[in-house]
Amino acid sequence: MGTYDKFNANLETVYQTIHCENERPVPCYMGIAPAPIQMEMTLAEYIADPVKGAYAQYDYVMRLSEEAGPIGCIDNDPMGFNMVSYLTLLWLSKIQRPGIELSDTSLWQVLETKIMEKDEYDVLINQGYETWFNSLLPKVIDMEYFGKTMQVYGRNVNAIRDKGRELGIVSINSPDILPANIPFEILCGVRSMSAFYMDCYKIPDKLVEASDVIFEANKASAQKTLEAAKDDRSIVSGWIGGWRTASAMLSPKIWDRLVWPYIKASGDQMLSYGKNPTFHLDQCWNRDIGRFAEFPEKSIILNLDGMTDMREARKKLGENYCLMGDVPAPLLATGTPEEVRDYVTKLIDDLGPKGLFVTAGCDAPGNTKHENMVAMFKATNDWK
Amino acid sequence: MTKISELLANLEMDELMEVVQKELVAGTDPVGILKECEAGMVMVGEKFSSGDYFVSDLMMSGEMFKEVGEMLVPYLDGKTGDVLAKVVLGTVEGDIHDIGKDLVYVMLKSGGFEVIDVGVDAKPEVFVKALKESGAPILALSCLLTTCYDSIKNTIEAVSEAGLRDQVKIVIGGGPTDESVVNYTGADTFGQDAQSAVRICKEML
Repeated sequence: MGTYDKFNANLETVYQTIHCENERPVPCYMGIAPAPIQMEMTLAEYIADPVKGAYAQYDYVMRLSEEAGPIGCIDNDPMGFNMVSYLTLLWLSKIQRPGIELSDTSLWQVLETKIMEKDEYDVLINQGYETWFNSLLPKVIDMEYFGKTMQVYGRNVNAIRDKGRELGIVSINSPDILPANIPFEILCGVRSMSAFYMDCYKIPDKLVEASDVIFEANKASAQKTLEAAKDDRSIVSGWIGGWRTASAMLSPKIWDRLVWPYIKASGDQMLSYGKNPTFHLDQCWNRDIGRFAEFPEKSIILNLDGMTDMREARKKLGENYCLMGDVPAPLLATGTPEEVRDYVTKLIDDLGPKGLFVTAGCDAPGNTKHENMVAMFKATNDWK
Repeated sequence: MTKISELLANLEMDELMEVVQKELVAGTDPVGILKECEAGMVMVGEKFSSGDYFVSDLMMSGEMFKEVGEMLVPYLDGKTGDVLAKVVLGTVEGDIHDIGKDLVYVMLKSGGFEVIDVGVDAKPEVFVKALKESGAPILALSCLLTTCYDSIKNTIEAVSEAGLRDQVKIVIGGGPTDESVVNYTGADTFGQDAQSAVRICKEML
């Protein structure tokens, strides 16, 4: 067997699943915190050495494969990128770090603080995204710390990727694609949720202007990454994430103006380069899940976290949209293996195996019981 | 006066402030205005429960309620409406999230409760101290991290060890809480959202 035969076979399975042409449900690992914990690292050690943490993630997936049957894919490339820097870039928020601001075993957490004042929307609109972003980044992260983490990432990303391929593990979302994403999330992060939600009612027109500026800048960056990735079939998808933009959080008036147009445009851009967007949708999206049918069938992944009704999603979208999820975090943390097995079996029974990646709802929590993780994947592999 | 409750329920911020200001200048009883706002918040809660309103609408109404409250302070002269009961509220140790907790705070307050907010990352002894000092019959614990289930459990154990468990009903809330977490931690129940916290606390009395 050649070095990448297993990887290539798993890659085919991933594509078949996105195209809803698979015969069996596909187990997919998703969980940043449990892997280092199960491989006996504290989260403080993981943050200090994300490269070691990335290899720990592969080791844990291999261990799970031995105990639960084959697991050929993970949702996100472990890539060795420091989670604190990553989340900072995602939300322009201050992130509290295990081992520094928090205890060694604590999960990293967003410190909800208003970083940006209301008048700084004008800086964004009048002076552009780069000026605005560069003025705010040093307010949320130590730039020396940030710079070092970027260097570590740059030095190690290729070796980590190669290791995954040697092991046959396909990372569905690649760091090689940086989608334009939803400006609402970063604005909400930097303004703080309570201030930004009020802005949505008080100055909606300004928020559209600000969102357009961010989106156009990010779209241009995304285009470069998509150009570079377009002919590489092993780069499957890019991650478009929404939590504060969830339907349950926002009135339709706000959602229709400040969320959906950017989700749609970001997804369309990726599709135009032959890549399949993954929409990582935390919280409850029941109200608007049907809107994703505006994307072509067999082209996108909807990654749901247990709060959106997956059965309802299947009903609204039909058989030809790929779903990923959704074993709930509380069940993984406090349930029994029997309960997890029953949940997964019923999920597959109800949804059917086609176009289904079975995984944790959102990321598996750090305190996921190992036996529950095994039960989740074993139930998927044993499903008849 | 019913206009005040309607304006609040319809999230008409600017008009609400104008009307309240006019009523105050005209010498209207500020406690009556407060009661109107509370009625408006009940209507907001109903709209949320029926699926017509969403979390952002709750937050907006909470902000309006708070702003009217600030306008009323100089006129109230220490008077407040009737208080249903006291509730001790906080986010458990190890968890620094405050959005959900703050929203519950406003909803409970507008629902007629006096709320003692002990903040975020609160140790079990902080909750116990607040319960002892206030005599509150309800403890509301917020948690957004599954890794903090043990903090909920430890807090409830501390309440038991302090001999208060029989007098205090405990509700938990936050994204990853459900019936399994109630069973794991020894709480009495859980709330799915900020609005349900009001209903649950009323049922607990």
